[in-house]
Amino acid sequence: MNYYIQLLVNGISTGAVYAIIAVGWALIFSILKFSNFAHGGTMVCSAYAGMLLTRLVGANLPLVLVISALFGGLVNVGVEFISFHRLRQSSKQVLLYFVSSITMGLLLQNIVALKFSGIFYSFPNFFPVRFLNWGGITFDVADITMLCIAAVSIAALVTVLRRTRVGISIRALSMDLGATSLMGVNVNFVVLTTFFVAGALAAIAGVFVGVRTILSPQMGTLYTVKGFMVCVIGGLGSLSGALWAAILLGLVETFLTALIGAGLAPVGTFLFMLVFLILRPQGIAGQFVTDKA
Amino acid sequence: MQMFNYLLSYLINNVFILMIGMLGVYVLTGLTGMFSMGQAAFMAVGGYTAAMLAKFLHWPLIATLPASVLMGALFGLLIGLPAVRLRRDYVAIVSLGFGEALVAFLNNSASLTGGALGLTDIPKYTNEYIIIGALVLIIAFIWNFKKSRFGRQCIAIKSDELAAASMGINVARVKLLVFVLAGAISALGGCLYVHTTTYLDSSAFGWDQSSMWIIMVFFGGINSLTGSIFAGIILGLIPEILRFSNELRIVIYCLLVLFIVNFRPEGLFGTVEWDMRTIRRGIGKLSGRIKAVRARKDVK
Repeated sequence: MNYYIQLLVNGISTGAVYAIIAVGWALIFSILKFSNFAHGGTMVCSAYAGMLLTRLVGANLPLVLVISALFGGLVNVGVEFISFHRLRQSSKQVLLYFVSSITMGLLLQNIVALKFSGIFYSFPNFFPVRFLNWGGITFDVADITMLCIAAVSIAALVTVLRRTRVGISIRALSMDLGATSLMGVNVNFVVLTTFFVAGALAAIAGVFVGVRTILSPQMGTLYTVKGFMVCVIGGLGSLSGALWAAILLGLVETFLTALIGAGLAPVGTFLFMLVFLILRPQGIAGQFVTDKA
Repeated sequence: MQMFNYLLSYLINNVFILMIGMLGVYVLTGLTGMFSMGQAAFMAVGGYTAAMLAKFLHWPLIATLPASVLMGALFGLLIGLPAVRLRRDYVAIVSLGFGEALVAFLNNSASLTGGALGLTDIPKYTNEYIIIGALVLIIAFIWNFKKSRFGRQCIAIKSDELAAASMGINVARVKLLVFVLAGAISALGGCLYVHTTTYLDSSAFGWDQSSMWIIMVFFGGINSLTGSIFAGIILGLIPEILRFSNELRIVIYCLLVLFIVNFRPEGLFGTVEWDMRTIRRGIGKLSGRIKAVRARKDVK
């Protein structure tokens, strides 16, 4: 019994990482109506930036999180400027968004790889006690911290979206671009803000992945794939759907890893996703977003 | 001269073979507008089929080639069946998931596929002539396919799926056929790849290779077969001439592509094919311009 509770805990904390990635992804999808495949690239860049910070000045976890988040936000603003800004004005062709964001992701990832490939880096241990034993179940302190910060940042995001002026503009933009700009909203500013927020979330996810395991430039690709999967399962462009799908995918992956081994788990995850998409193509949230594809 | 010979053999043995795989992406993405983000996995299917048949059962090329093409087509059918029923952007994720799952599977069935260590000592069956012959045959095939009824239906689906369906095109059937065809073409590339390198491991067929193919197809002009071929040769040869590290090569590719996306969104050649007619028309235009210049001089 304890074993399964243990798996549950691990699954939820894996899901938390996916959730932070997927929420940022869904946010951008809801306003651009297209997936930003450069998300993983931003994540890698800011995770390495955080790692450098701990190496050079010995920063502690909160400082690393804050600075990486700022850095990730700025990187994502750069991504918007380079790979989406002109396209948003000129073209509606879905292929271009696709190629542009994939290339941007590869670019960011390989710029990091140019400098850091070959050696694996990791964050120093931030926690005095790494594991807690509570009633026969072992908790990884890093996981718990991560879960809390993920919850707090998602709650903060939801509050911003619900209560503030910027949040309302973001939601309005996701419904109708033309009407929003007629209401006197500076569309470009709102798009950039959204990219900044999504980048900051990606950076937090990147730091967590680094704290839990090790850093490698290739993790950008891996988590881009995961983020996309979660968003599709959740229903593209839906925040709550993405949240639930992230936890679901985290659990499925953890249980599959326990059942058939880490090597074959991707095969199981793929089959799970395929069956899910055939049974419920609109995703968990169920809103059928008509995107540009 | 030695450099030239080396480059020529590199062009044939590496660039041309990977280009066969890329032509699968051209059929799928360039003609039909479906994103395959796991096309390299089909190359792996063909490669592993050929490698295992040749290594363990000692089949000759004449048998491994059709076998791997058949396997590629079969996998194309398997992945295509669910994919064509889903929305267009889901094709990307289904093929992406398939690619990742296949690589994971190959890495974990070590007794058959050698796992992460790969398979070695695969018989070398190919030479330069076979590779060039295969490439020319496939290009001729796709060239005619593009002009056939099916090819036109593909282009119609790419431009507007709804309009195509209302013109009486069976969208799901055409898409499925394209999936099978693309799988078979990429698998053929995989078969030639193993028999040329005589070594195979799964790391060559990941997401990076698939997205590189999409970049190449896009770079050349999305509708243009000659453009894709041109892009495949240029982007394949440049890094070998300039001797970049792999990471730097990708960085430079990416910068090139971002530049093109922003400033020439239809790709290098756009929808223009460099066939005889375009060339003749180009020559005609050029000679017309020369005549006009001469005429102006005469007036002066």
